[in-house]
Amino acid sequence: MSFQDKVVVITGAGRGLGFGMARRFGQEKAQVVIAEIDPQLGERAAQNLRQEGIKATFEPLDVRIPAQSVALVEKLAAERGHIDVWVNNAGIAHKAPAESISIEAWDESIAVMLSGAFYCSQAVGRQMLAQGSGVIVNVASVGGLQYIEGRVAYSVPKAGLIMLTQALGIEWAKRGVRVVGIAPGVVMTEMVQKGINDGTASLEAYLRRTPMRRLGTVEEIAEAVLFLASEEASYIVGEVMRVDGGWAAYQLF
Amino acid sequence: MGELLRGRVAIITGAGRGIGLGIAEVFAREGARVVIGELAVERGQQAAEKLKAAGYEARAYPLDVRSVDSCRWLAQKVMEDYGQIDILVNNAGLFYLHKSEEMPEDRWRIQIDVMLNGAFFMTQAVARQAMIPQRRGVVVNIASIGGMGGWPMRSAYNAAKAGLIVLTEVLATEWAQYNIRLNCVSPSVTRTDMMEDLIRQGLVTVDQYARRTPLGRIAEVSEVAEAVLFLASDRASFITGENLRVDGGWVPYGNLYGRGFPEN
Repeated sequence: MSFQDKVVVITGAGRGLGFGMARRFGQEKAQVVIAEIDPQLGERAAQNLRQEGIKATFEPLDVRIPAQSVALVEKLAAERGHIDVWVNNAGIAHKAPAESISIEAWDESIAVMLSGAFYCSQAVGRQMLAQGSGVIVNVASVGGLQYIEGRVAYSVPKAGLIMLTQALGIEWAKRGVRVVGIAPGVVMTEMVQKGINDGTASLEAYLRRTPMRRLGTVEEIAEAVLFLASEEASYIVGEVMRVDGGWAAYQLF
Repeated sequence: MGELLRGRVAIITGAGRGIGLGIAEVFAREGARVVIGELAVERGQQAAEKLKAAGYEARAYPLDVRSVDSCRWLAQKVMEDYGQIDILVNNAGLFYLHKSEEMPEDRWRIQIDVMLNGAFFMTQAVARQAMIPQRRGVVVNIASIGGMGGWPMRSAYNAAKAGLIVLTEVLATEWAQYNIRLNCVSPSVTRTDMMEDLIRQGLVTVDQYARRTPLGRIAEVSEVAEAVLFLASDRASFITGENLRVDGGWVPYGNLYGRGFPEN
C-alpha cells in the first residue's frame, strides 16, 4: 500500500471524519487537498497537518456549486498533473420530524450530500477517465441503510449516495475508475456531539444500540477509506462497506 | 514481509488450494502462524511445505468440517500446539451444478453440510475453546455473491452461502460482547482450481462471467485474499457483521443486455 505522491482530495476535511482521513492519507505520503467550505477551518486544518510533516493544502470548495468543483479539478490537474483519489465526505445533519422540517434544511441536505457528491464525482470523474485511473470514495452512513426518527433529511440523501456509488461504480469500472463507499456507524465527531448537546441524540442510546458497545473512532473510519482507495481493493467496485461496530447487522429489540 | 498479523495464529479451512491457499499465503506474508485445515491431507501438507520453504510458519492438520468431532479436535489440537487461536477463516467449500428439480439428495446435503453446518461448528469450536475465554478473536467467512441472489441451478450452494451471511450477522451481534469480530467476504467468480475444473468440464466459460461483470474480468485469488486480510487485521477493528463484496460490481448491476435466464 503506497500513496506516495498520490493526489488525494477530501471534501469537508476541515474537521471530523474528513480531517482524520486527510491525516491518514498524509501519513502514507499522499499529497492531501483539504477541500472545505469554511476557509478558516480549512486553512487551520492544512496548517496542523503540515506541522506533522504532511503535505497538505487547503482549497475552498462549496460542493453545492458545480462550477466550483469543476474549477478545483482543473486547477489541481494543471498544477499537479493528476488526481488519484477523491473522497466525497462533506455532510450536514439536520434533524427534525418529516412533517415539520424546513424546505431549506431538506434542500441543503440534498444539495450537500447527494447533488454535491454527484457534481464533484462528475468533475473529477472526467479527469480520472482521461487519466484512465482513479478512485472515488463516498462517505455514506448506516443512516442510509436503516432509518431513525427525525433523520429524513440525512438518511434520504445518504441512501441516494449509496446508489450513486453503485451507478458510477458500474458506469466507469471498465475505464480504470473505481467508485466505492463506506457506511460508518456513530463516531464522536463535532457533528454527533452537537446532536447530543442539543438533545436530539443520546450517547447512552448510541452505545446501547451498537453491538460492540462503543463508538467508532475517526482513525477506524479513515483506515477503511484508505483500504478501499488502495490497490489491495482492486476488484471492489460499487460496494459500500459498513464500518459500524455491528450496528446494521443487529435487527432485534 | 509485512507485520499486519505478526504472531497471530490463524486457522484457514480448505486452504490446500484455491482461495484458501491464497489467504494462507497472504497471512503468512504478514507474519501469521498459519494453520491449514484440510480434508485432502496430502494437499494440505504440500501447501504447508510450500509456505515453510518460503520461510514462513505453517502447519497442516486433517479436518472434515462435516464432523463436529473433527472441528472440536482441530480447535483443541491448535490450542495444545500454540496456546491461542486469533483468527479463523471458514473457507472450505464445494460446488455442484444441478437443475433443482433433479438435485440429488446427497448433493444438496453435502453443500449445506460443508459450507453452512461446517462453518457453524468450526466457529463454535474455536469460539468455545479459544476466542470466548481469550475475550478476543476474528472470524472471516468466505461467502459468495451467490448468497445474495438467484442463480439458476445453484440452489444448495446459494442457500448455504446466504445462510452463512446471516449466520455471520447473528454471531457478530451475539459475540461482540466477547470482543470477537465476524465478517464475510463475498467474492464473485474467481480464477481458482475449482473454476478451472468447471471450465474443463465445459460447464462454464470465463468469458460469460467477464461479460456480466462491470469490471470486465473475473477476480484473481490475491484480490479476494487481500480483502480477507484487511478484515482479519486490526485495521478493521470497528467492522463486524459486514459482508464485503469483492465482485467487480456484479451484484448492483442490472444487466439489461444480458442473455436472460435459461429456459427448459
